[in-house]
Amino acid sequence: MGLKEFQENILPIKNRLFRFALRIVSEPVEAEDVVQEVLVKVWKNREKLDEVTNVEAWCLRVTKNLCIDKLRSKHKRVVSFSSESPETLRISDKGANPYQIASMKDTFQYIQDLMNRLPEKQKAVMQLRDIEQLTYKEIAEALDITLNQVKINLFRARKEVKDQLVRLKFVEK
Amino acid sequence: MKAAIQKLLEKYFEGKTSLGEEAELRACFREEKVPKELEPYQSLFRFFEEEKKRQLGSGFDDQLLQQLKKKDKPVKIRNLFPQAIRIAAAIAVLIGAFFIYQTINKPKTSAKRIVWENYEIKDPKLAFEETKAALRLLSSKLNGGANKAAEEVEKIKKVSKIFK
Repeated sequence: MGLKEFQENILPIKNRLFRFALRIVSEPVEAEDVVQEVLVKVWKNREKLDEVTNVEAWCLRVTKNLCIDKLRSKHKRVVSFSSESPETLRISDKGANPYQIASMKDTFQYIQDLMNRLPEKQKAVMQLRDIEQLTYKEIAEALDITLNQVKINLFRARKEVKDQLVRLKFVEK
Repeated sequence: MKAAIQKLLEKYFEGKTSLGEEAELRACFREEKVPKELEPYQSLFRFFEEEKKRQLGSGFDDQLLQQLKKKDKPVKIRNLFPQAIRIAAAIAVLIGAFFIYQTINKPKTSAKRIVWENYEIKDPKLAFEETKAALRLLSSKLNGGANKAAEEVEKIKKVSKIFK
C-alpha cells in the first residue's frame, strides 16, 4: 500500500478513532497522540493488512489498548474493561439539589459527565453505537467481545443514563 | 406522533432498536418543538449528534504524513560514517587486547635450578676452615656495629652533661 492509498483508505477513519480515544482518555492532546500512534502502526504493518478482515475494527482495538496503556502510565485509575457498577454521578453527593442542576445551561456537559462515568465497556459500546452508529457486529469486533456482551452493555449504559436523568426529575418515570 | 416516539424510546432504552429506528429518533429530536416530557431525551440525542462533529485539527494529516515519510527514508551513507569509526575502534581494541593477552600468557623461561651439590666441600678439614672464616667475617661485622653504637652513646653522654 502506498502513501496515496493510505490517505484514501485509512486516513478517513482518523476522526472516529479520535472521538473513541477521547472518550477513554478525556484529553484531546492525548487522544490525538494515540491516533497518530495507531496510524503509524498501521503504516508500519501495511504489508500485513491483507490478513486483517476489518481494518477499522483493528484500528479501534489498537486505539483502545493504547489508551489504556496511556492511562496506566499516568497512574490514572483505570477501570478494567468490564461491566462493573458505574461511578454514578450522585447529585446528592455533590451537594447540589436537582433544581440547581436542572437549571444548568450546559446539559451537554452533564450528559458528557454521565457518559464518562460509565464503566469502560459500557462507555465504549455507547460511544460506538449511539455516536459512531456502528452495527453490533462491528462493535463486537472492535472491542473483541461477543454480540451478546455488546447488547448487555448497551442496555446497561442506556438504562444508567436514563436513571440519572430521572433522578434529576428531567423525566417522569 | 407522540405515542409513536414514546414507543420507540421505550424500545431504545431496552436496547432493542435497529440503526434505522435510532436514526428516526435522531430525526424526531432534531425538530425545535418536542412535547415537554420528551425534552430531556431531545438533549440526549442532540448531544450524540454534537459529539459526532468532533474532529482532529486541520494540521494533523500533514504532520502524520511527514512522520510516515521520515520512517520510510533510506539510511544515508553520511550517517554510517560515525558508525564505521565506532566499529573500527572496537576492532582495534579487540586486536590490542588479543596481543596483550598473548604477551601475558607467554610461557616464561624458568630460572635455572642451582645444583648445590656442585659447590659442596667434600673434604671435612677444608669445610671446617671455610666455616671458621665465614664466622670470623660475621663477627668482625657485628663488632664493627657494636663499636659504632658505643661511640654514639659517648657522644650523647657529653651532650647531656652540657644541658644539666
